[in-house]
Amino acid sequence: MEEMNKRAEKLTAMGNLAANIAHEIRNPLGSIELFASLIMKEGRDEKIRGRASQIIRSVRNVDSTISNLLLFARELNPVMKRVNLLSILMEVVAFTRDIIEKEDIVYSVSYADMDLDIEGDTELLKQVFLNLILNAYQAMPDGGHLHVETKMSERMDKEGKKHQSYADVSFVDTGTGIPPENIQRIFDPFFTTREKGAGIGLAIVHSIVGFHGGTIDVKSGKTGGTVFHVAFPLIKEYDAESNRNI
Amino acid sequence: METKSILVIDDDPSMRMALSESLESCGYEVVTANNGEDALNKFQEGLYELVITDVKMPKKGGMEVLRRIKKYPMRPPLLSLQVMELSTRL
Repeated sequence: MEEMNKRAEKLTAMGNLAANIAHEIRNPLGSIELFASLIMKEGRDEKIRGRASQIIRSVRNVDSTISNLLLFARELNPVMKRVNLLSILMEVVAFTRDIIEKEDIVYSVSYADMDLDIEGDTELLKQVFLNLILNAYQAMPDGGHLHVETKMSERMDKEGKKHQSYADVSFVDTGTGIPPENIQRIFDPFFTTREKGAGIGLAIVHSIVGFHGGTIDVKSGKTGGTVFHVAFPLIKEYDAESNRNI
Repeated sequence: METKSILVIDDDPSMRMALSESLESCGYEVVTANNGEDALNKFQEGLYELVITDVKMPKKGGMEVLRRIKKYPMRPPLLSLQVMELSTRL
């Protein structure tokens, strides 16, 4: 618990720093793009116009990276209500199915035969699932298998004080895997092994899951393949009903 | 044909110049202000088709300027350069 608080404090400090830097960079970027646009519009030399066009492209790339940073840095303002986690997951799976299956990846699902109601923010939870699915997709450049599974489990809560029912969601891929030396850092902001990655997707996932009182862990085999497992506490009145079915 | 005027408010000289030149190249007349107070004075003196303002500025910020201008019955459309902040604060 103390570890999580320390991490949350560190993330908040890094987030604030990122937000301040982002704002300071965005203004000059805006004027650079406008000046380059003027050169594009008024320049007579084709070569110079081509260079201006290149400046605009590069500025937009930097701007896109900053947008991602701001997404990570912004304070979460969740709209918490009773939501059906399964419906949210199914929506994201349906949304990503075309992209995943185009890349020679077999996409399979196994859903618990019950609604998994939790207290949460639908949009933030969609971000969690989307990030984990895209992460698996990017780990399988040569194709593979992505399996998404949900179930209900019961164990002691995070403080170890009482029994709690959880909605468990696992994302199992047969991708390149994560080297043991990187596993500890995988949720750290700005940590990435990808050439074009900003290293904030999994940090965002970690923050959102923590905000919902959930847990996330990752296991990766030496020969490849990774399992991300997230668990969210089910709401109490649902607990009683589910226990009758166990 | 009458030239339409736009009031551009930004404390960053480079951004002011970039916005002015871009808008002027589209045929608009541009009046610039480098802070909120300067902007409100110029707004009262002229007739503008559009007001474009930065949000984060020393002294009177862009949001304060927009709130003050919104009280005028014949106010022009207002555009903030930081849309994300505008939508969360208004």
